[in-house]
Amino acid sequence: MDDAGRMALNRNLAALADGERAAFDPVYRTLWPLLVRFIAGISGDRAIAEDMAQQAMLKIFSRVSTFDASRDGLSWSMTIAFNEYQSYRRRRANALGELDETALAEVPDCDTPEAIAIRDDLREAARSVLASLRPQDRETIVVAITDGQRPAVSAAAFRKRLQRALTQTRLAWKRYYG
Amino acid sequence: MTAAPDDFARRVRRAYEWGRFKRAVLQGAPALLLTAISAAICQRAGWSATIGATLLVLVTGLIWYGRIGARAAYAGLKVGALAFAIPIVIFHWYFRDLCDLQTVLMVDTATGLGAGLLLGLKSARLEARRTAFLLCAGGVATLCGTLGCLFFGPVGVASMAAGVLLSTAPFAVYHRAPA
Repeated sequence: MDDAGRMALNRNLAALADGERAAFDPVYRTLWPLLVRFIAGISGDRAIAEDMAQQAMLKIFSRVSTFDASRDGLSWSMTIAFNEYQSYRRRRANALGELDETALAEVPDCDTPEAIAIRDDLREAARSVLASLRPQDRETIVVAITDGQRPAVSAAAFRKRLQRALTQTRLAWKRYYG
Repeated sequence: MTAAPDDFARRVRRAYEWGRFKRAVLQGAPALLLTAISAAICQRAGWSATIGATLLVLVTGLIWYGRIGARAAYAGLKVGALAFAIPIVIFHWYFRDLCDLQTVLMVDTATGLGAGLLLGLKSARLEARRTAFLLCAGGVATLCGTLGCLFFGPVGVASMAAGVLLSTAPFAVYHRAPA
């Protein structure tokens, strides 16, 4: 984008921030291709770029009334687009993490050789993770799973202890199996 | 999923208007503060709530609309906060035992005149739409002042409104007069 285009975008963004609805179309037409190109550049995926550019466009226009005319409109818009892309990546990473946990919870129940092998592997993995825990954490988890004899502490203290033990278990699992 | 261009442009326009509206509500929040103070000290909660709600709607609408309306709302709120506070402070600190009709008329009219004068001076810096600015800003400032003057009853409210009207009218007439 050349200097004249940049200045025109700044002027139009400032006008839109002031409530000048006539500046909507010029800003929309100028920003859309820039956003798609920018996000395609950082993501390397044209399909994602169009989706992300739409999200970024909605964010930019919902915040345009806070645009400070002394700032550069193009940088301001691209910062919002970049943040939107980062949020998308974080959301996707979290969703994939949740997906993995769901997959782990679905242990095959049949007696095919593959299912037996998977169950044995998981059992072995759980055993080694439990073995790496402190004895008190291990005991707490075993008691909670088997509904066994609880230690002589209050219910709240036991819940806290169990929560701590599960956190340690998760960390150990991540350490061993990623 | 990518939306069709026309649908998406409409969504963007809605996002723009909704963003402006949310900001306008936030920036109109001082109206709620003035209403709460008015309800607490003026002992006329019903009237305070009615005038406060009108003020909030007016300020939110003007800021959402933008341009001259938003400028008028900001100016009206600033000047109106003074018009709200001055009579209360003066009566509380100086005329505690002399709250008669004449003093109320004098103080409230003088405050209204001062508020109108400030708005008139602000409008003089504008290049266009001064009358619209004076009308909107005067309305906001009068409602703010009215919230404070409820303490003094109908006479206080009327004298404040008359003060604002009297001092803004010459600015509006002067600007409209042909050169």
